[in-house]
Amino acid sequence: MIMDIRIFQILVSFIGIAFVIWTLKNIITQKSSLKDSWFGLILSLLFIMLALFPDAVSHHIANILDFKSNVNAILFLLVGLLSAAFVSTNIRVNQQNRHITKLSKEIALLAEEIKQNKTKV
Amino acid sequence: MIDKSDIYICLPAYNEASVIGSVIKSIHENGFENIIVIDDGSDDNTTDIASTFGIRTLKLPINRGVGAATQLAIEYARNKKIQYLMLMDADGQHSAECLHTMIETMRRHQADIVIGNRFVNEENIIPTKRRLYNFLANIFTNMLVDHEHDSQSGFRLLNRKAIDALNLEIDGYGVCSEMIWKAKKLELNIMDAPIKVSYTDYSLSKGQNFGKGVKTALSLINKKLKL
Repeated sequence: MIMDIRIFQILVSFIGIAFVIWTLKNIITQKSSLKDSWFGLILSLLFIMLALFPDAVSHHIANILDFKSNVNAILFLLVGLLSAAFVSTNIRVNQQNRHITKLSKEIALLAEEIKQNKTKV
Repeated sequence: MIDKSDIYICLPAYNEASVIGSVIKSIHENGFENIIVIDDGSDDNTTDIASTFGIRTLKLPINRGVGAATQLAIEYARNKKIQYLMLMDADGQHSAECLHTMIETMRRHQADIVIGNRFVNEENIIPTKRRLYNFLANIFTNMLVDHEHDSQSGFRLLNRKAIDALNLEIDGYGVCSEMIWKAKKLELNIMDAPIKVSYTDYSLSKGQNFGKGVKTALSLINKKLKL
């Protein structure tokens, strides 16, 4: 059987593999953790699989999700994954904002206390 | 009887170097000595100018919004066991003469929080844009509690009970509504007092705009979902 490989398949899988290697290297050198990188890894692997075996993977996903069209199933899956990523990022940003405000207030109160103590001395 | 020496006037300020001096002077002229400037991470010399008047200044290391500055003012008042905390805009739109009206309203009605109402005094010329923002913000505020008045006014007087009880979380302009929501939930007595305001091109450039309005609305929805 001769497999007809198209340019996008080479390009997407090459970028995907490069991203996976770069992420794993960061995890090994402790620049990032698996907890922070798992979503990117799964998404990259999904793209690699989709690029290499577009029909088989999309057909399988459509079967699981009970979609008639393979394309709709892929779009639904990606929109779902990206929405989940957006929501979780939004929650994290809000948490970080709260921490930054709390720290800023503590710094301001401490600086004022130091100033007052200096004035007393 | 509320003693003037028990009242601390707090001015949350962000890049107000050009007007902060005149605001402090007008407060002094009305017989109030205890002033605190909360510098919300200004890039200009707001803090330096305020310091030349010999008043206390607290500076947030980075700009976090008027809500964060208000939270800091309340936390400071709580730590220092301040009896009355007056919050007033630092852009010069609020008249310092109204400080007396605010105090008198608190005394007469035994209120825990007095909110300066810009819409009672017919002499106030309030731009249509501001009226519209306030109308929309009132809708959001009233989603949770019944407060028909000037929900977005930054001119507020809090007594010790309110200072101790309020734990605010919104960093931006949404803090005005959040304070009302939480105060109502805590069954604090909120009263309105008519105030004079004068809008200048400068003060109009500092307040709400469409982008900030949307951000405020989103923070209020977010907060409402959590309450």
